[in-house]
Amino acid sequence: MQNSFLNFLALLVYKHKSKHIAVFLISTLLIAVLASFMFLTSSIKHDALIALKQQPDFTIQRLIGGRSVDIPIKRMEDYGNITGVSYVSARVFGRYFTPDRKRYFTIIGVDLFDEQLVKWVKEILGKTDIKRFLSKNNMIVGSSVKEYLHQNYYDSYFNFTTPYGKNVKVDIFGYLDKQSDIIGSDFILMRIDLAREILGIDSDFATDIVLNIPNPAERENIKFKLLSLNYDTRIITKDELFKEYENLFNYKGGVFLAGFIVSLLTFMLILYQRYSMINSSDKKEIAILRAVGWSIKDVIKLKLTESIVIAVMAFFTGIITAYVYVFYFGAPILKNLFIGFGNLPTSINFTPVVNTGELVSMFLIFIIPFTASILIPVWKIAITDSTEALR
Amino acid sequence: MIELKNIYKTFNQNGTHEFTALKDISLKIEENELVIIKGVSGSGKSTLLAIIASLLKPTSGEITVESKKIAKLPDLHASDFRASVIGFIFQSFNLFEHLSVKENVSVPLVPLKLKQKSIDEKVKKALLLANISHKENSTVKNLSGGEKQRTAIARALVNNPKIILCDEPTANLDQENSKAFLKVVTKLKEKGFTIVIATHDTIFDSYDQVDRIINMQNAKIV
Repeated sequence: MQNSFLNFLALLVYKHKSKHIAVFLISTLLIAVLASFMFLTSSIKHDALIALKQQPDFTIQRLIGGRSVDIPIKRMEDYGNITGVSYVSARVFGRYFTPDRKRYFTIIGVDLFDEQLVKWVKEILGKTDIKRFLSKNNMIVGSSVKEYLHQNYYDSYFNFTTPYGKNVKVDIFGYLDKQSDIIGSDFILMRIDLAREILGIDSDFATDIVLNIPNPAERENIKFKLLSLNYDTRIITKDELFKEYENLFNYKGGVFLAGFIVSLLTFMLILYQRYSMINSSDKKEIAILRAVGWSIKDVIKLKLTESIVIAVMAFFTGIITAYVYVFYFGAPILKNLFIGFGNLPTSINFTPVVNTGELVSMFLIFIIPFTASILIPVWKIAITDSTEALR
Repeated sequence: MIELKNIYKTFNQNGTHEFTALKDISLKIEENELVIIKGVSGSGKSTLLAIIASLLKPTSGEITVESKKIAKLPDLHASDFRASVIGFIFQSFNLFEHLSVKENVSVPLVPLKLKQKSIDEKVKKALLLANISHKENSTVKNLSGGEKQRTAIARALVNNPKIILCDEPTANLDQENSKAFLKVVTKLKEKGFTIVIATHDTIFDSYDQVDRIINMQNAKIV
């Protein structure tokens, strides 16, 4: 494209800025909303899947009457005797409702003998001395818990009440990293026996039992053996969790994408109508260009490029806006659609994850109908008798 | 230079509002001739100019400009023809009000793939010829009617065309500016341009540079 054309194009875009502003703003908004959803989905999916990878292969729960109840830890011995099972551990966790019963924390008991859990805890605690942490009535809390406790003047400890009415004072030993927010903003980590006491779980019981089965081919077989051992057993596999997460995010993303496409098409229709019912000054502009020697091709090229410049500018502004909104401001409001209305309010730090393929697809989904919605009406006007507009 | 043979132009042919703007027009205009086409509004003057400029296609008949038959030229060739042979000056100037004088004058050169230096040179020359160089950076909307007219003339001259077509060029000008326009036309005639002016302004009746006056009435030359 020659310089004079580009100069004239830049001149027109600049001089017509008031005419383009509405199209630019609506396009930017549409792109910003879609890109925010996209960034959110990618980021949450990325973090959730990383967290999931650290989970054991099987999580075994006990169901009675369809309700999840505590599982006897003596079953661990039976599970450990099954060939192919490499790791067995009992987990204790549960919800602790605040005194006003409006919010809850998730208490997780940490057992020094649970290597996998200790490994995960070490990863999120960094340099913290885990043995010292587990030696007393200590706890490490997520950011939402920290915020709540601070609001209620508990900056160094908190008094928990057991289901039997006993008060247990627990000191705040440290805080979970902001990076753990997506999964752990409402977490409280503490010694396993302390967690049992606060949650009212008997020492012979656990919330669930976890297993590792290194050979994937053995998993179905072991699942069958586990079920035959105890008929009240419910097995949640890591693969199922993966699929569930994938489906959940794909479903949410899909519902949103459908909504976006509807909005985009509506917008394109409005654009088409706007250009079809082009006002007399636009018609005159085209007529002048035709009269001074511009061909229909030249006019269409100019008008189309002018619109594409606006669309591309809107696209990148929308992407940058979305990036800042999600990764710098933590996507207020929108995040609730993905992670649910948080039990504890928090400002989550999303890991910046940008999927180039999705960005390119979004660019094409936006730019092609945008161009088409302008091309047809401009072409119609350019080929009609323009002399009337010049009178 | 320009030859029209049995030109007819009918709008909305076979439609409910069919209207014939030109009926059996035959006309020959020689090189460097200054021709006035006179007639009341609706007599067909503007349609005739649009057909000579290849902005409209005749319903029937033949038109030759510069030895080129233009009645059935496809758009790409018609626009090339307009860009290289014709300079058009309109009654309402038809300028881009938000652009500067210089930017307006350069508009016909934009699709020609010229270098910016060459564009600047051509624009400068046209501005001088139309006597509007002193306003080259002014925005058109801030100009007087006479200045707008001179900008439109510069734009018509920028491609160095052989033929200048003027459609009611003095209709929006006061007497002083109309006289100034005649001075520019005189200069253009001296430079060898062929000029066709469609008007009903009586100022041209006493204009001594006119070679021929053609009267039109009810779509016909009378």
